[in-house]
Amino acid sequence: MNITRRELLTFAGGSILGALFTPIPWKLLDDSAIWTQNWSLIPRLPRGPETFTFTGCTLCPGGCAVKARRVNGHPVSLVGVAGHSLSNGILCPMGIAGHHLAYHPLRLRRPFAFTGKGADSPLVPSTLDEIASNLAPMLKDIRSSSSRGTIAVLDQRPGRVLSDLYRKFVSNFPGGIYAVAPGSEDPTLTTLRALCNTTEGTLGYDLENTRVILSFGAPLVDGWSTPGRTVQLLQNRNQNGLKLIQVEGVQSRTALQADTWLPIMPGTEAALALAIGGVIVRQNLFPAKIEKTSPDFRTYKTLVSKFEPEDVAAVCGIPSSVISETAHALASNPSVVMSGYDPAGGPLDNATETVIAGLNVLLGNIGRTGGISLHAPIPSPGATTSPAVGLAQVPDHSVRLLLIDGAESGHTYPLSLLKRKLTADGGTVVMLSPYLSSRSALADYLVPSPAAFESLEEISTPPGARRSSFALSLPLLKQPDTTVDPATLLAKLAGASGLPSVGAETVESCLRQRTHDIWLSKRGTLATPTGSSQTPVMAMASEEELWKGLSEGGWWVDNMQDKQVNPRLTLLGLMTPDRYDKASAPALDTTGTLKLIPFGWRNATMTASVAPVLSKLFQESHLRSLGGRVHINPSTLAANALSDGAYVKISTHSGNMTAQAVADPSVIPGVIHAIVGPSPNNTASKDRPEAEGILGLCAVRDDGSWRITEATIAKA
Amino acid sequence: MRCKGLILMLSGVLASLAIGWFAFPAALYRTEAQPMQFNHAVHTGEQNGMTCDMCHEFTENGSFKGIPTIAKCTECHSAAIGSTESEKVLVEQFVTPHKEIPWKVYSRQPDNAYFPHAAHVKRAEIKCEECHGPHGSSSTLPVYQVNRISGYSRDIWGRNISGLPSHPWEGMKMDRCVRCHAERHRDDSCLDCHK
Repeated sequence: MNITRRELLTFAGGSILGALFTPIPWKLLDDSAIWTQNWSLIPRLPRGPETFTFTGCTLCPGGCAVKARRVNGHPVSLVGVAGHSLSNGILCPMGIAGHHLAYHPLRLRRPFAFTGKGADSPLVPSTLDEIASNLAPMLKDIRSSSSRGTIAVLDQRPGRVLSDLYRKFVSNFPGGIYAVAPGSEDPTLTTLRALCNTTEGTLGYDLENTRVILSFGAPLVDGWSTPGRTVQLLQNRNQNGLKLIQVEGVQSRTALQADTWLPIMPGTEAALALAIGGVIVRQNLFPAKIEKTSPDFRTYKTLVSKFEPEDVAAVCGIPSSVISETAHALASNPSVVMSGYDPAGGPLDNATETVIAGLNVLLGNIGRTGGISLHAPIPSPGATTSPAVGLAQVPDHSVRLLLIDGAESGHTYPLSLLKRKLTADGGTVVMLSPYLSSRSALADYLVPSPAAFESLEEISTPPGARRSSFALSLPLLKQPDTTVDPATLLAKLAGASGLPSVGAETVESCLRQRTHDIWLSKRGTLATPTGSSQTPVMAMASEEELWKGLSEGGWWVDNMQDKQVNPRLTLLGLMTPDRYDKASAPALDTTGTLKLIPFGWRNATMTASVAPVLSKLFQESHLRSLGGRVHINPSTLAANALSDGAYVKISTHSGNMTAQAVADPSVIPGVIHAIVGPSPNNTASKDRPEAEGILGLCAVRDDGSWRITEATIAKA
Repeated sequence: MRCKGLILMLSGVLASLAIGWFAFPAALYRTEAQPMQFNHAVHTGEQNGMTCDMCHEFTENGSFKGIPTIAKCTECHSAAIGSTESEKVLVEQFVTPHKEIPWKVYSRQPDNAYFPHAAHVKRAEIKCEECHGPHGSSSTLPVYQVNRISGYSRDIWGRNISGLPSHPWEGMKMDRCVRCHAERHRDDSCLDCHK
């Protein structure tokens, strides 16, 4: 029997038709899809026994307690620790994804050297020994003379035992500078320290007993200090009677949850603080002793007399009646006045910070229950070391060799603030960092430091805390062999400079020293991670017992009585009254020069510190705005012939860039609220640091602030 | 001629149907032997009266342990109970050398699927049998067949190659999760199961 081609095709056609009514195509499609999930290249989830480790988050100075679920020793999920007395079981989204950061595409896995300055210079692999030998001549030269510039260490998170090591290291060099990064300290408390003229002890907020908080932009429920502390206080407002008054130029998350939001024209915060001070002085709402104990009370009184609520209301946009009510609320309750350090916008200018902090002095808040306390710092041997200075206070063009610490501060700042401190030839910058970031563009040498949860680290007292505390962040992941312990780097550099040992060659030895100091002091108690039991240090037989408790996730909290504050407090410090002129407050302008104000979310200001999985937060759910967008009031957009979603060119004296405009009625007209970071999915710049973005357009003032920059917008 | 073409076409259809419904399943699945036999009925029957969670237990933190470890078996079988072949294998090959039994798990899900037993068994009070069928009263283990392409047990798709279950408990594919959640008015967003 002959089979023709037609017959064969007919049979094949029938077979194909029949196959559609069988499971073959559909099952094969399903199974092959599942098969692609099992390719060997795809990382496998670990299988094995499930264990739990208590540790602490080091992604910001908040230092929240973390309970890590581990499978076969590998961390698979992080959550807060319920019952923990400091963080109250709360962990922010950054912390929840903190164990992913070790795998970030921009992770540095070996030392690198830049062959030139700037973002275009290529990265060349290097070694720690090579870096140390390259720097040796310069280190020796600086040791012999500081005439051509000195050495400086920029500590991203001061207060750690490692910070003491940095200070000890730079003290070996003539003029050596130990500087703290912007945002690493609470600006109000830093200013108050100057007003109190005290160098001893640590200032903190007694928020647990406060009834009114006047916050000038502090992101209290959005990444301020230890988030669990303020979130719980504000959640329990019905019980504790706390009132939050938020002064801010945009309806931030904190403003949304405040009892009262005072939308203020940015740049007029000082006028508002002085107007509130004026009401308090005129109506004698302050404690009588202030008049006697504050040497500049008369000067202050004369100054605030020029700031009548009615006049200030016209400038800052807040009704005079509200100004008076706020002053009364502050004076008739235990209160605290604080300013906010925006993670990207930085602090307010010095003059404004001074009058905000001065309100606390005027109200008698210092040393008062529910006000601001002075407590003992963590016990330390108290060796003579270099004093700490803010980065802004470092003399311009004085730093020949800059070492940047690799700790996460959660904040960012314009690179121009750093650049101006370097000597005219650009200096040499050694940067410790787990990742490649915008700051890397400034570095000559990149030294990879351990990522979060990779090494033993310290969690010291969070900014604004009521008591000193100490805990260990225990590693959950294996630290790559190529990463460098900061203490090891210092030991290498000390060796290259011909210095004797700086004291410790690993962070662990530093931490054991601190544990020893705490045990010797016999102060405070060690609480178990869940707060189920507390053991006084005094009752511990050996420092090993304290170390063991800390190694199991325990937390040491001091129990020392508050220190007495110097009664002679100034209200203005070194500020002269001529720094304050309400007439200079800029008028509303929506078509010409606008105010460019950068803002960010703590830890989300740089690409590298955001786990790619958080794209769900930023891109898929739109719970957070992404970097590269600017929020502008619709009226300002309309006045400039722009629309929602349009791409706009923002120009300042420092340059220009393109961003996408978002119409946001909560932004004050005339203001450009520019979002700094993150771009969780940005892996395009793997070989090169990303551009600085909007911070590159900001003008840095002499006092180190960059909150407001004049800018213009036009259609891109 | 036309009749011949129709016959040829129908032959093709029939051949495909035969291959698709009979030869294909036989080729797709490979039978693998379990390391030993296990009689659930002996454990759960009147003589011993054990419940599922006595061996398939939850940890203190609420997570599900799944297949019991050899340590759990050893609690009762440190020495042989009875003289069956399975008992001999259990004691000699696994209990004495303290070696885990490499069970082939009928309900093993992909790594990207997260199924919390605690939420379903304790909170929603769903009986084990609703998903696993009358497994607890069986006297022998079912034949374990593995899909040659996907690598998962045949029980995930269901014994019936059509995907249509012969019994309510058959199949453990996502559509079953979604259907049950819809029936009970539970959330069913992607992130509930795919972390």
